[in-house]
Amino acid sequence: MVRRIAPVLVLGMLISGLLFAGGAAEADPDAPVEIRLATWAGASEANELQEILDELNDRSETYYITQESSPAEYYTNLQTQVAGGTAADLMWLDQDNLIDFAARGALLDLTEMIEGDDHPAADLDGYFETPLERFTYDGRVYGLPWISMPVMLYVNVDHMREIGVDPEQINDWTWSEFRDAAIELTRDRQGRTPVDSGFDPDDIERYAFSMVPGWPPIQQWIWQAGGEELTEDLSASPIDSDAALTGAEFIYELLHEYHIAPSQSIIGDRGFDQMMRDGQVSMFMGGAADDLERNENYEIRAFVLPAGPTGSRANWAWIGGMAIWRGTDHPEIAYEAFMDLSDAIHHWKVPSPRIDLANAETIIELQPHKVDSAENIITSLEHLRAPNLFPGYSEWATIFGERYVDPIVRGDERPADIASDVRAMLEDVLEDYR
Amino acid sequence: MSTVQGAAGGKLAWWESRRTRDTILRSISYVVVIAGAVVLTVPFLWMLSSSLKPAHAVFASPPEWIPDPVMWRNYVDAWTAMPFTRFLINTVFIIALGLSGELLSCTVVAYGFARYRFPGRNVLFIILLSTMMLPYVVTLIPTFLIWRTLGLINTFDPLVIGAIFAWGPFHIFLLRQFMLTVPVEMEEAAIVDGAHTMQRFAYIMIPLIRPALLAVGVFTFQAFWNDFLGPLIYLNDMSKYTMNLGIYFFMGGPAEAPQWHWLMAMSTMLALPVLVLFFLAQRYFIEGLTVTGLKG
Amino acid sequence: MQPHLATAIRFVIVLAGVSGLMVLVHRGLRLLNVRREAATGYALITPWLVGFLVFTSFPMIASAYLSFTDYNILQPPNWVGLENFRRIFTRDIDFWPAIRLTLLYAFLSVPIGVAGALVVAMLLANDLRGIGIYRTVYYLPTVLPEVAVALLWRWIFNPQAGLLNRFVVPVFRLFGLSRPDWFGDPTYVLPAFVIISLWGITGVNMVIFLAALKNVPLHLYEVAFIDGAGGWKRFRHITVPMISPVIFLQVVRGIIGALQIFTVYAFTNPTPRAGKFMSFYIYQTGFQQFRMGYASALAWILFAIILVLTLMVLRSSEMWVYYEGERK
Repeated sequence: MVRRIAPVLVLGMLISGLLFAGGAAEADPDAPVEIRLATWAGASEANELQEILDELNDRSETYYITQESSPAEYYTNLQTQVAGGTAADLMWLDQDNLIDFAARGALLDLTEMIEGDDHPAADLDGYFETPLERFTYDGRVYGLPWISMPVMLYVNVDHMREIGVDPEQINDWTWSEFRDAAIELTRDRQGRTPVDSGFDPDDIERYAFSMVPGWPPIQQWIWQAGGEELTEDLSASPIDSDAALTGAEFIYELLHEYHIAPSQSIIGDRGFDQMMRDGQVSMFMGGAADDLERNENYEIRAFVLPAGPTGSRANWAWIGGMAIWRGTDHPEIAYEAFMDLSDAIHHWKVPSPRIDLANAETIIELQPHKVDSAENIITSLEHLRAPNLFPGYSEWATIFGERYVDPIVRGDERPADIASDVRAMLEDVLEDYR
Repeated sequence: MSTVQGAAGGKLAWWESRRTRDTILRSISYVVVIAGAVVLTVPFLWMLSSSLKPAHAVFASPPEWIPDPVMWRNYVDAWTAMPFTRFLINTVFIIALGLSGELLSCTVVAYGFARYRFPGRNVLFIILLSTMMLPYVVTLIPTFLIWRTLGLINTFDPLVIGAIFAWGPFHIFLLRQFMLTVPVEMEEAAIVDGAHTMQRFAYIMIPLIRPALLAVGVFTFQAFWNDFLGPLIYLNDMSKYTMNLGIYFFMGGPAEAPQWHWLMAMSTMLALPVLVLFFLAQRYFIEGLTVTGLKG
Repeated sequence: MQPHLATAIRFVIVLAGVSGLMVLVHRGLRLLNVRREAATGYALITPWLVGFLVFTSFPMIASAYLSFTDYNILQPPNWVGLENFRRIFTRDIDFWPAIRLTLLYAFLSVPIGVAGALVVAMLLANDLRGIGIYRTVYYLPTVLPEVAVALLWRWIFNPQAGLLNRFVVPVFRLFGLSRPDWFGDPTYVLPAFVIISLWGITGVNMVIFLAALKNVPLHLYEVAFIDGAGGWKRFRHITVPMISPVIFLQVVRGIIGALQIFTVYAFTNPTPRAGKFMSFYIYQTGFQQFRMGYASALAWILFAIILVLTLMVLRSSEMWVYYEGERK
């Protein structure tokens, strides 16, 4: 008898066991609601963020924010959680992904909530235009940026003095001054520059610049020359126009005729900015938040990018921000936490996307080593430009990166030879998403 | 046909004698094995040495092998930068459950496939093999949906319960292959003695395949120890994270440079237990074979 | 410790449930007059069968369904029929290069890997002094965390300061070739990955062979020795047949592993001009470009390729794999 019942009993237990997993204890209605925050923060960033969260949680009676950080494979994690309906209430997103998540209905539309809000971070007029625009889709606000980082030209000032360039003039540079300095700075082990006879490109001791496919974005030179890689109406990718080719060819020449930058493998191994710190690279284009100025051996400062033939100093904006998941159980409370946290991060990360906080004094106060760069960072904000985004952008960007940038930068293809073929591929994608 | 006629023939030259040949072969073996060992140790030593360097010296060119100064505190700093003690407890917990479930279920299933004839056995076995082949990328989301339906996201369950259902097709395969090499006569003798299925399984098969079991044990341990995607997808609270997930915090991000020295310190810490386990286990699962009944 | 306890309780319950189910299956089948041997067989494989039905067949069916849809992960999928497959075979600029690179890699790395692992195992099967240490050292590569390994490869393949080029460059100079940029030059990407695959001959593969070699009854060698068979003959006529099931296992595993290579590729970031490995391409379309339907179609094509190759090996195995304990 017992032997016959036992299996049934066990099965019953199995089922009930799986069921009780779902029923958690009921929460106290007056207790603060848990608001989950998904971030890509690494170890030290996560620890700094936790201090901010502790402070906010102490002050609030309605919410407490818990941090869920996954520095690697962040977006895979996020997408799985959204697909499964278990995403965090708040999530950090960069410009590319914000548009994808918004277009696919994963984010809460904040437009109405923000309109009636007098919170300092909710004043949309207080933001720079570019970063805010990248967090709106179809005229609706889906999130708020908390950092808007221009690309700066980091320069080893000691090396510049050595070749007789006055650092004070760097902010006024055009492409040709940049090229002349780059040629003068690049030296092989015999001290020859790329224009000297006998220069050995396989035995370079010091490089003027550092560039890998994808960074710094080649789009900057295309823009500075007056070209476009993706038109604002998202109808074309005219990378084979004369202006766009001027930008790409400028880079091609510097890399393959003058050898001013080491190959990607060398940079990848040494660490992207480490060669700059060690004085093996004299100039580097990096985000304004990079702390290259902290250097014991060299004086390093950040300058505005050199101007292209049209006089443009357009630089690539990296915009990070935060959004609310549409499936959140507590939209109001999540919104409150979102606003408080956005404001707190605006006082933590530099440069802030808010006009009142983006000033040299704030930057120096938060990052004292930026004392000589702060003014230039503020100037660069005026030249900030972000790519025109659309929901198929990552597919577009993959082709642009793999078919155009990689062959030019890492390979040895002349932009003029491949631009029209790549244009056709890019416009195929645009066609698909029209 | 054969060029070597054995030691009995007196007309062999000295270099043809078996003893000399064995000595030469042995010496060559030594040289090759040692050379290989040196090559394989280099990366590990580099990792070890990097873990004891200050952050900026990790990529120095030419590489410095002896760290100067020796930064023992990297280990302490890395361990305390994130709650690694907590991560360790979680990892050990997951391994304890997962390993026991996996070993138990895989052995039983492999025994069924190796020793019992039933309709559809071969088809089922091919299906089992084919489940190894579907790229995880596309099954990730459907699998996640199952666990969500069960209400078990952000628990350890998705990482361990599956082990009860013999989710390692390779392990079943491996155990089955080993069971097939065991002469069936041994069990038939037991059947004559009137032994029950489970008795035959437990008293005859298990002792004979102990080396394979140990091997599967080591592999399973390692798979759980190094699993990254599972914990990443299913665990949300940092208090539930595992060791391996923890070291990814040192990989940096859009606004933070990687902390190579900490990464290397924690990588060394992660590698050591598996190495020790392997060192201890290999005697038994490789040497231990000679004492089983297989010698005949 | 609450989450741990809850999981532990559920674990024990499920374990008991599965055991109960096995008993139930056996009894049920016996009641239906199924032969004792078959009933026992079905009962024994029940854990896998249940797991397969719940945790494997559903995701597989789901991904098969998704391959006929347009699915962006964040919204419900849209049925598009054969559109994904049509596109893959006609318009996809990455597909054929990816297939080519992936298959070439498999054809090069699997034979090298299996033969290499066997050679290493045979060396380590000798009773050399301190053999335990050597075996452990040879196991080293598999215990290092993947992040560390990937970093290591970048360091080894670095064109300027890398370990490999110190040996390769002088040889290349002899043939008038310039310094190879392993991951940057499309010509060298495949060779670089084949070199990396040598790493795989140690570790798990070596251990499996080692155990198999030790499993070959010594008396067979003794008999052969008395019969005067030489080293090669003993290897050819005793070792190979006796461990052939394991060679078979390794070939299948090698194919599956080679066709799914992912992590090292993602971390070493080789130039895409050489083509991408299939599983990386699938990941890229699925998770980076939000085209999970398309990625599922790609995955099923990869799955079909693996399946066909495995079946070919399986078919051929009847000719060369020898099972001592098999009951036909």
